[in-house]
Amino acid sequence: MEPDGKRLVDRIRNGDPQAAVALVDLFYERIYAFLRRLSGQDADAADLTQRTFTRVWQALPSYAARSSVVSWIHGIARHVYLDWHRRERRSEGRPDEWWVAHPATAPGPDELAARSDLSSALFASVETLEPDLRDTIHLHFFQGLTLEETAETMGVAVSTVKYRQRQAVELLQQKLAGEPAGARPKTL
Amino acid sequence: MNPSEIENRLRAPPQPRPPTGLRERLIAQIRTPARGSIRGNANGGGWRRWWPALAPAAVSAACAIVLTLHHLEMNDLKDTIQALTNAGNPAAPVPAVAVVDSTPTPGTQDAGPDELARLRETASQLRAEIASLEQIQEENNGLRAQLTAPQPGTFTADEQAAMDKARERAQSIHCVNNLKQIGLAVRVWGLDNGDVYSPDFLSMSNELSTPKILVCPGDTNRPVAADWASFTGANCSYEYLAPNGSPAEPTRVLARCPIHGNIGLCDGSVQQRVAKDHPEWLVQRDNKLYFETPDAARAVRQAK
Repeated sequence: MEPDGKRLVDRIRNGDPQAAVALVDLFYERIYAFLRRLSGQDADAADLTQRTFTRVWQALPSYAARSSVVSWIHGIARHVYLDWHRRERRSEGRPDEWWVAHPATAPGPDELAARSDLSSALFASVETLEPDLRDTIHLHFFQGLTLEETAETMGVAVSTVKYRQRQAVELLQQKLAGEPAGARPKTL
Repeated sequence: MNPSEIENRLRAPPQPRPPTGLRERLIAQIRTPARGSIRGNANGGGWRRWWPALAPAAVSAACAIVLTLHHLEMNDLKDTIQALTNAGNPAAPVPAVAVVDSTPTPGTQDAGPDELARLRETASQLRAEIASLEQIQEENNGLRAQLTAPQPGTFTADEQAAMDKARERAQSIHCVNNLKQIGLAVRVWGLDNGDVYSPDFLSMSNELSTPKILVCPGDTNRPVAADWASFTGANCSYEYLAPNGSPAEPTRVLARCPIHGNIGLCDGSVQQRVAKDHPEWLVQRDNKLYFETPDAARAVRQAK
């Protein structure tokens, strides 16, 4: 995907509108899903996706290709979400009903039925993590970004992403086991 | 649930589908930059990043080229002048190359006697100019010698003696002023260091401010240090006689000028020509030098 992304960006910078449409098609579903999981509302997610792509077109001339396109766009989407969240003073976390209504589809329908409650609890627990840990889970696991891409998106070192990922999984394990997360380590 | 199972489940999150019409809205808001509006793209951004370094380098290279061209032109001109000088001065030693290659070139044959005569005329003009320059130089040297030589007719012997005396007095006053400044600097240094005076001149460079005041104007052979970094003992006329002294010894000699005999005391005062006119007033006790007039010495003896 990544070579296509950079090639598309080069074509857009040369004024090719078809390349812009292709870039939208390549990323808008992932970005919408990312923002939908973070914001919790369909309308908000659609609005944030539009704002994200507006900023993409604005920032395109200054894109220096130092990071991958997927990291760059996710970084913009994350900042759009953070700006919106600060402005709206939204509370953290998605309601449990939302996660129950959107169970994971990967394991298959029969297995899903048995594991639905557990998955929903897991995803709901993700939303109770500190923002840095939560965003790491969203970007690395939910969005499927590599560690390097996650680090580029969040503007931190790869080692920090690894640390946060391990920390988040340990906390989720404690939460699912019903243990109090008393000695909760600080995020970097 | 173990960590790997948690990670596997996290990799299969709910995938919300975008609402209908979102794609169309996103496509409608596309704003591609106009062709050519982006000067530095991913490939061409290097120039934009490097031009601050490359521009001075280009200017330097251009200057180097111009200097080289000038140098070559100057060399050509020098060769031309040398050739003309040789041609116009038959008495000048002929280069070895000319001796070897004595056959006239076709160009020389074409020039003929007219060209030779013209060159000889030019050479004679140049010789005349050189002679006049030498004459001017001799006159200049004569004038300089006249200026530097003493002019016995200007002052009488009495006037000259008075002049010398006045000069010496002025220098002595200047020397006293230097010792006053040294005394002041030592006392300021002592205020910052528990009433203990500096061990040497260099330690109070901040208070002295300039090494000029450490050279007596009568000490004409001693160079003045340009700054404290280059200051050595050779740049100081005065003897520092009260290292680690204190204001509790006001009559102790702080510094002495070996030329005028002026002495500076630890209380900051300066006594003129004491070391020359009244050396007996300088008393040494415990390897320290004190200034004591006869009256003061008598008082000390009576007190004891």
